[in-house]
Amino acid sequence: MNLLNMLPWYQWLILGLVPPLILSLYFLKLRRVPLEVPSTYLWTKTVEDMHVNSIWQRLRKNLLLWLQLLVVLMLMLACLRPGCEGEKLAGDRFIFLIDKSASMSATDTETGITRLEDAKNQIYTLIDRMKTSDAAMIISFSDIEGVDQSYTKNKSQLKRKVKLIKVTQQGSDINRALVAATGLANPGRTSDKASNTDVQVAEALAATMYIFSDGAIKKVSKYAPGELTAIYQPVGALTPASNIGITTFSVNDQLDTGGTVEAFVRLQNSGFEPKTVGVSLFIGETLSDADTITVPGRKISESNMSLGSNDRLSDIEQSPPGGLSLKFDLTSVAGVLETATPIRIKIDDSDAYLLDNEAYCVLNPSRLTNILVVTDYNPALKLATSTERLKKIANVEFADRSFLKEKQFQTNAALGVYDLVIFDQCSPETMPACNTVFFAALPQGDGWKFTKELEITPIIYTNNSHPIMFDVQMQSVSILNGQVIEGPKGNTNLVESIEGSVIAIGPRSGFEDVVIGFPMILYEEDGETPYNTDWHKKPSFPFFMQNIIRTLGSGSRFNSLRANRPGNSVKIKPRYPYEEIDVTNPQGKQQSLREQPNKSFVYNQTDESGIYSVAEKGSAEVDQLFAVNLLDRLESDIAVRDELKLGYEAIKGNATREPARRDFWIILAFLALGVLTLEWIIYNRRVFI
Amino acid sequence: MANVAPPKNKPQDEPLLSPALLAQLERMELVSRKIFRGRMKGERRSKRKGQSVEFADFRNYVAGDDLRFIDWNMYARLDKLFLKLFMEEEDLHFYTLIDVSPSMQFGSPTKFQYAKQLAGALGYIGLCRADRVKIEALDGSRNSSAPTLRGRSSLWQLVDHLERMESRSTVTMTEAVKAFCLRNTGKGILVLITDLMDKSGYEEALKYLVARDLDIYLIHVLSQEEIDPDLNGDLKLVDCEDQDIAEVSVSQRLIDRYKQTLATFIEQARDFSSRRGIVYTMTSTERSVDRLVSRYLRQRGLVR
Repeated sequence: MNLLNMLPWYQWLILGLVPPLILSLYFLKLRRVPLEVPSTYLWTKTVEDMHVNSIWQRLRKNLLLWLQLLVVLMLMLACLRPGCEGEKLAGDRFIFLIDKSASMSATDTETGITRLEDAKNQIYTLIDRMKTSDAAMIISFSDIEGVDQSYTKNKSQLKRKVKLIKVTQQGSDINRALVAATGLANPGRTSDKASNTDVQVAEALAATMYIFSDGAIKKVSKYAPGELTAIYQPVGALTPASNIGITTFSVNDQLDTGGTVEAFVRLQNSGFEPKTVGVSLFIGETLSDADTITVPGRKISESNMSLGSNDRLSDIEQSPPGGLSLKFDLTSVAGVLETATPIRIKIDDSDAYLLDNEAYCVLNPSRLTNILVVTDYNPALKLATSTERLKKIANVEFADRSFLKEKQFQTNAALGVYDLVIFDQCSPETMPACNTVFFAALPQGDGWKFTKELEITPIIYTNNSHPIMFDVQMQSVSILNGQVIEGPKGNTNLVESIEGSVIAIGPRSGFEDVVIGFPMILYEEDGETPYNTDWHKKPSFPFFMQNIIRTLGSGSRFNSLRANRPGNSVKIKPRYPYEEIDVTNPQGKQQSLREQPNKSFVYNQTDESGIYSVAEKGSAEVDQLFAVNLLDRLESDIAVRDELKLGYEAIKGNATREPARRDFWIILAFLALGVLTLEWIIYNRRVFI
Repeated sequence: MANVAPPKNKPQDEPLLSPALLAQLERMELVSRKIFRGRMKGERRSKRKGQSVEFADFRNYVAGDDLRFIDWNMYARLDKLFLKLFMEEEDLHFYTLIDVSPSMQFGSPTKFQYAKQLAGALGYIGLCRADRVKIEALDGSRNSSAPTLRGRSSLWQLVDHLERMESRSTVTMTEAVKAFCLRNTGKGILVLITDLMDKSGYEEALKYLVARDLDIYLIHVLSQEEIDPDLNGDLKLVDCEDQDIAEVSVSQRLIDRYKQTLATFIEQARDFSSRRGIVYTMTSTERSVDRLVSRYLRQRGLVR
């Protein structure tokens, strides 16, 4: 609180003379109206004690005088312009972007409230400081963004909407929120880049965007602010809080480990110091294993610590959090497993961020994958799909191309009996309700086309980031004849030649079709069956087929391998063809789902981490369980970032805050007005002399 | 006094005694709580034994007594001479004193007008009952011009006297009462009509009257503006009698305090009067004279 002199000395002198003037006016004799009365006898007796000569007694009873002096003093104080340090809101349009990701539930703030609550409090203060003509909007974001309140000048409405924002158990992806914010600030821009009908409908209006976040956000590749000025308000502790979190929890694939079932856990420490915590593994509700481990602290170099006003890390990327991996052997447990069983790992430590202290996984009893291979003659394909390892996880049937005409195939295909059908140089009349692979043939429908004939063409690109092409090297593969493929909308090229794509994968109403543009074997008219490619001689072919079966044939023996994140939809495929199922969330809330056309169910209410159970509608018998986990390294690293990188722009936290005076003179002036009104009322009511 | 605001009064062109009031008053009579000796033959019982038809007492005969009053029947039975005495009926002195100080000139109607009406009404009752009615102004004069009236036919004299009466006295109430007492020695009923607004006090004056052994009725007349003053603002109150000034800034609190003071003043007057056998009646000029006479004074026993 300080004072700012607003008047020169002579004005102060004049103002200073006002109170003595008022006082002297009270000592002046009033000009009274004479009135003749029968007798002053009673009046004299009445006013006897009021005509006290003492000045102070007279003043004591004179409320009006005191009120008038109070008014003048308040005005004088208002002229001194009392005020304190505050923040100024520059501009007249504001966008408040609030991070509601899981890490905002951390309680490492100064007052011990969650980061989100702290951010909300800061926003309330900013809303209070908005001028009446200012407009603001509110956007909250986690993995998904939402405009909670469009531009409004109604402060109470803004506050109400801010109050409604709740923390989620999701990661933080600011990209779409930025698109929404910049799109509203710059109406000429559009989030739909393909649209050519997007026209500028309004003038671009400058706006100030306040981002309330801990900075743990996914990378922003594109950011064009235009008229938008971004201000980053970091929320959370100044120094990185020590938080041990589970960032990985999975059960391995028996296919890879030769029958051993192991649970992998990775712990992350976002603090500086190593920390010792207890870790417990529960199978069902039974404690199966426990251990005490020490997780190393953040790897940090001295040069990376900014020595400024706070101890924030100048570049969080350069100082990765410490980590430790654990492995639990579950082979003996998995061997006797009869029903789906949840497994849970728990860190026995109460740190600032609790959401990453538990993770869940499910061990479902295994189910052999049904695979149908339709081929007249293809020894390489037969060999690659008949290995001992595949037999452990899949039930592979072989059939001639004539089988496609049979009713049994059509029935099985329609009922979804098969998980994967491989068509070698043939195509069914009706596409089966499962994933498919086509060798030198096209799926039914308009989506797929052969566009060009190929002759002895080298492979120039393999998309190894796709799980099907994982560890598959195609550069040395020779192809004699083939065709260039053009897939439906949303397809992905897996292998490309000079002329175009030769292997591609595309979606089909919940299923996926892989089309290989060349045959393995050529069926010649003279009955010869020469190989069209040397792929079968390369190690890449069995790898490719194994990937196909694991990826498309539901070859994963454990549903736990599926990474279900909170907020994402989960595709459920029950063991039996139910028409309707009940899904129960970790809180016990049940939701009924109807079968989708592709013989599966889609569940969207995965807001919380935990174990979700699936059962036939009305039945108590659990069909399967699935786990939903955040397991986000970014969220578990609760160190508050000092700067936010939006595209090529790095926004320093706090740097753009403008310290300014918060004036109280308006309050004083209003108080003076109130006192004046009171004095007027008292004068008119004449309660006191 | 040039700027003094005039008191708010109603026009005073009403007749002093209306025929309706006179008709009502004819049926009443003044009542004295004491029995006085009259001066002339009248309609009231006197202390004297006289010649009325109403038997009063016996007494022994003494030489010189009128033989006509000897009870011969008693003589026949007892062989002793007894004189038979009869009640004497005489007239009654009825005095009315009207305060004629300038303060009586306030109110609507003025307190003075009201006092004259009341005095006229009571006087007429007395005239109808053959009492000796005398209405005097408390002006302190040694030689009163007030006539002593008797008989209903004297009504016009009574009214004429009242109409000629003016309120211009500057003497104190005590002096005026003293002068009255010196002038008049007759016993009887005395009605004092005043506003008691005398700064020297009313107590002395009342004591003089009490000493005369009269049957005293004090009628305290106040105007409405004295009972509930409708004042506002910062005022300089000027006393109409002595030009004394009281400066007031009128507020609700002051008004409340004034009313409290007035109530105390009335209570003191009532208390003082009742201690000395004076019947006290407070009235406002708003209250009509016929209502005052027929109801309040009847309740207090002055008329019946």
